[in-house]
Amino acid sequence: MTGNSREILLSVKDLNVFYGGIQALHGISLDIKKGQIVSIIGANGAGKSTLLKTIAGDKEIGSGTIEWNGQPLPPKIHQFSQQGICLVPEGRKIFVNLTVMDNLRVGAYAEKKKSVIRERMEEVFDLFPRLKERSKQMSGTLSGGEQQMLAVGRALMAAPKLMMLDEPSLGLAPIIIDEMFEKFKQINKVYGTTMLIVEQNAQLALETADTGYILNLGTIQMEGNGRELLDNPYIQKAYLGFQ
Amino acid sequence: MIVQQLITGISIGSVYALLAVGYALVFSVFNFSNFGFGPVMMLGAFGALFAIEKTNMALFPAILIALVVAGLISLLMEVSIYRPMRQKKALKVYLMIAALGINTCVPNFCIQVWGGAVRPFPSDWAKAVIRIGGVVVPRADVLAAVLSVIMLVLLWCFLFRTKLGLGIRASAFDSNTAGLMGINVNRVAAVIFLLSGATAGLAGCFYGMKYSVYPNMGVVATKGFVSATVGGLGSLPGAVISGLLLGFLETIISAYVSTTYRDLVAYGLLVIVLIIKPNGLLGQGAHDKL
Repeated sequence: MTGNSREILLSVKDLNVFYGGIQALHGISLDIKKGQIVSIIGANGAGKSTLLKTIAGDKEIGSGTIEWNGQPLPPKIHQFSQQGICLVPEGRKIFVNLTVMDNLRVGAYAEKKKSVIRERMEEVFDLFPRLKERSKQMSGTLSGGEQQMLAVGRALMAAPKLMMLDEPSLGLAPIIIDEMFEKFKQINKVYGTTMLIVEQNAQLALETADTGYILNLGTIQMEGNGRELLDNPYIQKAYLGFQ
Repeated sequence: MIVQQLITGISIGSVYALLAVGYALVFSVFNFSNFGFGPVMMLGAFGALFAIEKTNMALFPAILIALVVAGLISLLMEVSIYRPMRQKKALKVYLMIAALGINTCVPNFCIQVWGGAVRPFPSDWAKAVIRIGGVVVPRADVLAAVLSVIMLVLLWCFLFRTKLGLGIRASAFDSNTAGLMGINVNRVAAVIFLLSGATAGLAGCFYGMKYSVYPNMGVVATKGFVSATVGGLGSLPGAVISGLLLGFLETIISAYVSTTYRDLVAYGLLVIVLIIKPNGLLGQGAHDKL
């Protein structure tokens, strides 16, 4: 890590994104600093997933710009992970027809050196020992929690600079969710990986985040320090279920 | 007698198996059936035929020419037709209709250029027979069986032992996520069309040796498609097994019932298999594929 936490890694300016004639994102602007954990919360259909997909190259930019390390995003979807932008997609999207180990190998597809791939796999296994036990198993036989570990491990195999997680808590037991968010903090701390988390569980997302954004109907409604947002009465009422 | 039928069954079955694997490979990644394999197979066979007739080339290098020609034609189809359609987000069914168009257009073009004549495959070596005990087997049949097995084993090794193979298997499950993980899906597509084209070219040579070479010979690729479907669309082992099965079935029926019943019984059984197992013998199910 450079240690310069004020450096901007990702800069989104006036981003508009459409699905056919329907506009999903309206003039989104945000800056993500290196080494931060950023959470985006919002209701269903607020455009959270669309924002992540657009940053990951899986959705076309309508208008506006996204700058990555001061440069425009690469033109082809497969070049994003080489540049260090990695998405852990909603619903995990692991390759259930492949073994756990092959899934991890796919994560490091752009890496040519076998020794580097082996090293990274060991690191993933250290982080998620359960995956090591099941490394030869077909990944379709894993439990939901294990599949989420695999999806995160697969993204780590690319040694990402920015790891984006789309609804990582979806369908998981509360105890596993807590464990998972602990791992996110650990990844952020150990590797200095910048994290962008989209999450329905607003409480957990804001507790974990350095910076939080509230997305509503495709626009940024509010932004701030995770703690501040947690203490904001409007957010407590609208997103945290306080009476 | 039965041994002889068995060997004939293997040889025609391996032609079907090769074609079926071609269909399965493309299908597994792109979820559409490339009906363009008929012309690809035909052009491969013509490649070998012209190589032998015009340059007196030996049989084996000529077969290699067939592989290369068919592989490149198949790649050309992908790059010039399917890829632009995919990039414009065409529905799979339109890709398939374009493929059907190719399937009719290319043979007719070839008839204009070369005439529709049926040409014998110009190899005396392949026509000769081998006697093993009391059994007389055409060399072409043995060659078809042996080379098909080699081709299928090589293909398996490629898919399961190389990095590009891993990329293909990942793309086969979910090409969008494969792209997100850094796999260049267009490159995967190119490799798949090259490989499946080459297998079709090999099948074309064997079919040409056994019967003959003519612009409409690609019609037989339909049987490869049927085998791939019965095997479970997209399943490679399923494609091989049902290709061989179809070959045996046809040979046995031709030998013991009548040639006129061959397609009737074979296709009838295929329909019955699909009624019982709608996703094919080794199909994954749960996919809404065309």
